Amino acid sequence: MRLSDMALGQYYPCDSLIHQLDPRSKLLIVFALILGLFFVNELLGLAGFAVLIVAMALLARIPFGYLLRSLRPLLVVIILTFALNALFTPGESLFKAGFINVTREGVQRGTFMTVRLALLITASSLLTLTTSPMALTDGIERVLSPFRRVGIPAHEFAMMMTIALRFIPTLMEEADRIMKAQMARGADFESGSLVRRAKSFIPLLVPLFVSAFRRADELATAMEARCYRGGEGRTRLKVLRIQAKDYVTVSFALLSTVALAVAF
Amino acid sequence: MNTTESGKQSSSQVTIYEMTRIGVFTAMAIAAAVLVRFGGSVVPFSLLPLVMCLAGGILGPRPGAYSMLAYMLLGLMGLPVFASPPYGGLAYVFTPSFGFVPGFVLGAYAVGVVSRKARSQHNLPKAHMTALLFTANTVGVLVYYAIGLPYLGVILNVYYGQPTSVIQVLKIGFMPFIVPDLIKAFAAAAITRAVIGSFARRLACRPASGRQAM
Repeated sequence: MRLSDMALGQYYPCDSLIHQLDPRSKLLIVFALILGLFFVNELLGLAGFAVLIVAMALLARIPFGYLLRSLRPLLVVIILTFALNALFTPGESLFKAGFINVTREGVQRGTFMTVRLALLITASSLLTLTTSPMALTDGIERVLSPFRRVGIPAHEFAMMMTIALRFIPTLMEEADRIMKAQMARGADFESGSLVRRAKSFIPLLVPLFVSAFRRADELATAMEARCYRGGEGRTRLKVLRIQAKDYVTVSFALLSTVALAVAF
Repeated sequence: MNTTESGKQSSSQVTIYEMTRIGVFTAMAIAAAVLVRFGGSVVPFSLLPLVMCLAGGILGPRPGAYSMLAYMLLGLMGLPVFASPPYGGLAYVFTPSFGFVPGFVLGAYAVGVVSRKARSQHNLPKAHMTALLFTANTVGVLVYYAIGLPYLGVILNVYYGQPTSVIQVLKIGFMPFIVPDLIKAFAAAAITRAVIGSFARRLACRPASGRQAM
C-alpha cells in the first residue's frame, strides 16, 4: 500500500506572506489565473503569467524544485501535446521526412499549448503547496456557504471532505487487516485467473464495508455525544479573517491578470 | 440501512450518520483512483465506476451522489485525487476525461433511485435482488457515459482543436470500457447485495439513530 507515501495535498509548511493569506483569497487568485490563462492568445502574455507565478512562488518561499516536481507526472502529456500540435497543424514546412511534416505554425502552436498547460498546473499546485488541506476545506466551506439558499449544505460538505481525508488511512489499515485474516483462513489473492482473483476480492470488500460502516457509525455517535449539530452556531479554533494583506495581494493579482488578459 | 431510507427528509439535510458514511465512500473513491494509478496499468482502468455503483446502491440516491460530489470537490480544490494527470486542481476541468467525474455524481444518484426497492425490502429472493441491483448499476453506468462522452467530444473538438467525430469519441471513450464497466456493475451488484444483507442481519443490534444533523 503506497497510499501513505502519497503526500495528500503536498503541503509545504512555511511562514510566508502567501501561506498566511486567507484560503479564500488564494482560491480566488488561482481561479482568476486559470481563467486569465485561457484568455491569452500570445506567447508574450503567457510569459507575463509565468513571471507572476514565479514571483508568487518566491514570495511563498517555495523551493523551485518543488514547483517543478508537480510537472513531472505530466511530462508525457506535455510532450504529447507539443508533438501533436507540431505535426498536425497545416502551414509552412520546417522539416519533412516521409509523412512527418513539422510546420512553423505547428511548432508555435505546440509551444504555446505546452507552456499554457505547464502554467496551469503550476498555478494550481501553488495553491496546495501553500495551503493545508484543512485550511482548504475551511475555505471551500466559506466559498460554498452563499449557495445554502439553493440547497447545497456547505458546512456538511466541508465536514464530509474532512472525514473522508481522515478515513483514508483507516480504510487502508482495515483492508490490510482483513486481507491477512482471510489469508489465514486460506484465501488466495495472488494466483489464478483474472476472474478468480476478482472473485477473491468479494470476501475482502464485504467485511471491509461492514467494518468501515461500523467505524463510521462510531464516529457519528462520538460526534453526537459531543453535541455536534451541524454548521449552525458552530465556533472554531481558527477563524478565517480577510486582512489588509489579502486585499492588497488579491487586488494586485487580479489587476495584473486582467491587464495581461486584455493586452494579449 | 440506518437512516438513509427512513422516511422523507426535508430538502438538503444530511444526518450525522449519513455524513460519516458518505465520508467512507469518498475515501474509497480516492483510494480506488490512487491505488490503480500506482498500480501502473497500461490501460486506463478505473475502479471508480465500481465505487459509484456501490455508493448509490448502499447509501441511496442523495447520499451516494454527495459522496461522489465530495470527491469531485476535493479534486477540484487541488488535492491530487483524480485518476489521470494532472490529478487535481481547477485545471483538471480542461482534460478530456473530466466529464466522467460529474458523471459519477449523477450516476450514483441514478443507481440509488433505481435500486430503492433493494434497500427497503431485505427479504427479496437472492436472484431477484441481484437482477434489480444489476439493472440499477447498468442504468448508472449509462448515465455516467451520457455525461462523460459529450464532454470528451466537446473538449477534444473545442479546446484541443482536433476535429473528432461522434464515432471517434465512442472509439476513444466507450468501446474499450463498456464491457469492463458492465462486469464492474455486476460485481458491484453482488457486493451491494451482500452488504445490504449483512446490515439486515445486524438490524436488531444497531444503535438507535435518525436524529437530524442540523
